[in-house]
Amino acid sequence: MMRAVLILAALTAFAASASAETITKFWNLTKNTVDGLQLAPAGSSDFGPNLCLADPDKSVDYDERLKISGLASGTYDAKLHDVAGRSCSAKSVKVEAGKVFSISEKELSGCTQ
Amino acid sequence: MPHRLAIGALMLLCATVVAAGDAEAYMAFVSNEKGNTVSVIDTDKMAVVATIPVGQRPRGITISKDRKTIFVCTSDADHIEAIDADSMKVVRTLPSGADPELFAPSPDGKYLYVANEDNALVSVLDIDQGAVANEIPVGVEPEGMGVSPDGKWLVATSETTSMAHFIDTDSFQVVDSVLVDTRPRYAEFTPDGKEVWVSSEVGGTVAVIDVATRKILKKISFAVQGVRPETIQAVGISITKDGKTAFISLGPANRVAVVDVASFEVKDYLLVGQRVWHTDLTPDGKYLLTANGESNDVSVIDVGSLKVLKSIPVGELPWGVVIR
Repeated sequence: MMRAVLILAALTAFAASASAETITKFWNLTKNTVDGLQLAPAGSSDFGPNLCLADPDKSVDYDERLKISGLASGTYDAKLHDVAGRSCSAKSVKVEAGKVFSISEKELSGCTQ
Repeated sequence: MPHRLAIGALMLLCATVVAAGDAEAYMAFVSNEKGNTVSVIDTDKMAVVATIPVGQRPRGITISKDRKTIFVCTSDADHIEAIDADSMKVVRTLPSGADPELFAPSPDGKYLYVANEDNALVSVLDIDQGAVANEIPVGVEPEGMGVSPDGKWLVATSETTSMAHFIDTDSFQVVDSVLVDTRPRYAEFTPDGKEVWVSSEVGGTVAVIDVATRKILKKISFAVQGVRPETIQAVGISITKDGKTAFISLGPANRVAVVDVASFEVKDYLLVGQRVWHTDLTPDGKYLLTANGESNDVSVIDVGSLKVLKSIPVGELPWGVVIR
């Protein structure tokens, strides 16, 4: 019995660890290279750090993917900055952990330069 | 006299049949990166005649040596799908290594050389065996794959390392690497095998490399009146069979540059759909078709007159095209 409990605990820990390492990918389908991407739970202003800093060249080209670790499934608002100097928002971006989510040009709003 | 008339009528009939035979209809297969489909265009009707569901994120697309099979890299599915070109159905799935993006067949039809963007490898896929026969480490984010007409050289471009790697296909070893402009995306040999042309997306140039010496002979730059220079991003390359003309896709500049191969001179810029990625010529060299990523269409260019004839709507985010 004790052995079964230990195995279960180990499996639970493994599952939690695997979940924490789930890679979600942001697919940049805006018209420019993005060098700033911050996410906040939809409707809040709790924006996290710039996720683009995790990319080898700190930016995400058009049609490129950015790997994001540990992002939970949910609906997010996004703040984007691109190399052309634009700052834009994207509302209600649906994210499924471990999958690819895209933001396209037509989803951007309130762009300022 | 009636006998002569009958012969004349027969000759006329034969001439009509021959003339009808001249008008060849080809099928263009277009990979739709976001739609997860391949659109099939009849080049005679200039319309989509079929849509084939495939795996996730289809990008690179090519044809087998016997021209019976279309291969497509389904990048997010981490494999290659084989489409029977007649039945237009996926008939086989082949391993490819992670995140296959572009590939090139060996001239003998035995291998597909596959760029694995995520793990900096070129996979050598034995088509008959359906197995990866070799893996060749290259620079970061490999993408463009060009094979010399004699099959001796494979050139892989690595986007982040900004290099064109020359791979000896006997030893499957990188024997030389040539630094090119930023983010090289595509490699295409001239039909005589003497030069390989490498496009650089961020650099906005095409490097013409002498295959024998691996020296850059010329860097071709592009300038389109009224278009911001940073939007001129060189990606796809097609060269006519006679080796005289190259067509360079310029991405978000929405243009295809027409380049004289001998002089490296840019002769014209043709306005096509939005964000043009890759192109292919019909086997008779009459038309060039371009996959336009943002406008979700394919432009048809008449090669003789250098006029854009038509835009054909296809699936979501068209990326690659190959014509049978």
